[in-house]
Amino acid sequence: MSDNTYLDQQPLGAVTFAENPEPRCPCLLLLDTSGSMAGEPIAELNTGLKTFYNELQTDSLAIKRVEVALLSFGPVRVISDFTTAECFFDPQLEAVGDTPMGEAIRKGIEMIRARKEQYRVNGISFYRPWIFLITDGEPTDEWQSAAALVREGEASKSFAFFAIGVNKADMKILKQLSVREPVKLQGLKFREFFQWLSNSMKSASRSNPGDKILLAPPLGWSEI
Amino acid sequence: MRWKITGSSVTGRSHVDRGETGQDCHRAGSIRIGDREYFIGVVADGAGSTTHGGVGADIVCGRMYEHITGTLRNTADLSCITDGEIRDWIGASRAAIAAEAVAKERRIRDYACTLLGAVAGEGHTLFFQIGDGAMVVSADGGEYDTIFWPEQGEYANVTFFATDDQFSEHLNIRHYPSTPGEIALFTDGIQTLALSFAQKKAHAGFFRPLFDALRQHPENGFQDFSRQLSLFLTRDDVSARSDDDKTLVLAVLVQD
Repeated sequence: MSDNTYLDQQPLGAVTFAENPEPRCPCLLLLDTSGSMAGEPIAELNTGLKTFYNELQTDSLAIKRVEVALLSFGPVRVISDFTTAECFFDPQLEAVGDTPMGEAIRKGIEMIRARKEQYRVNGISFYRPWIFLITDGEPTDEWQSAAALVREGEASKSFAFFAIGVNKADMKILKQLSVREPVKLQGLKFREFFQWLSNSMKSASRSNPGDKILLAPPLGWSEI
Repeated sequence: MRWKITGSSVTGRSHVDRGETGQDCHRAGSIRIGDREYFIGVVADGAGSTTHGGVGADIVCGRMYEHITGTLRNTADLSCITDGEIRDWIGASRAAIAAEAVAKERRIRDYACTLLGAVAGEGHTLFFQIGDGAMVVSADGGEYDTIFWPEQGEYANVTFFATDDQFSEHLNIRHYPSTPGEIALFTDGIQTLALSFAQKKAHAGFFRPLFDALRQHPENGFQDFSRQLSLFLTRDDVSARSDDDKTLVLAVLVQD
């Protein structure tokens, strides 16, 4: 037996890895499922979500690191709390009700806070959480307090908040809700948006100490 | 008392795919002064966000190694080396990076890198660290202890660097009043394989076989061992767990 074979197959082969939780890359989707989304928009959104899950599942690191939570509003409902891609399912959202956007944002920020607390208690490191708000309308409830929470969270780097407007979304209000410039979805290109988002999450989940996570320009799905 | 030493720095798969070179670096060896042999290990990880972190890591490892050997020639007793002297080594290494940055018209932060170091002699060992990565020791091949738990900012991709203006604030120094039989130094690319974050402990199943293999390896085959270590660090199951650049330095004490 040569030296090489000995080293390759015996001692170094016996190395086992710590059952150590991977660092997490949390992403919260706040999805408008109010009545106005009925028909093609909600169908396209569902297809887009499926694409998103499938994409993340094909990536060996993203599947262990990216945690997605879904919260729909109209009425506010937690479809899925933060979970890694292994447990993704097919949500099949339905469009019904009004647009309680303020409540959804407040609830979402609370979910982020609770999740970070769980990471800390369990000694899991994590990346800055992302929140994506996707809406085709305007808030039907009080939203100014939610906007203040978003400003606060952005200032303290607690999360990054992005707003995506669909169809006749009130971009003026989105501008007041989000510190970052809101983006208008081109037609119903949810699938392209989610493709872009999964790519962004894949690269974020690979970033190393010192990396600044930069989102790719929203090409292929936004109106610029 | 002699040291058997090996080390390897490999480039993470995603960097290889993008045609980038690794940003990790290490220097490890021993020097004999009188009848004593000292182990010196230095490891640095160039920040992923920088253009020249790898160059910074290379400079800091080379300079630190020189400063340490220089000091040892004058002060054979490790317990006499003060925290101030360690800060001076790092300050001087940082100045070398700053000079390189000025010469190339760049900023020192373009060269940002972490730093981990260990110097072991008879009855005393020095450890110092800025930023993430970790060092692990074992007295007699039993339990493995971490010297400092990896230091991190709030988020997983934020850490501290030897090149920071305020580097002293995040410099950890430990005087260890004995000579561990086994010492490992590694960058954050190895952390997820070798440390259990839930238990805040080093994973013996990772270190035990590596140290045993090094101990049993024939004396004249050190080159070969570090090559085997590199193959191990680029293995598929290792890459699947951590995509980052990886550096691992191992030293075992051999009693004659």
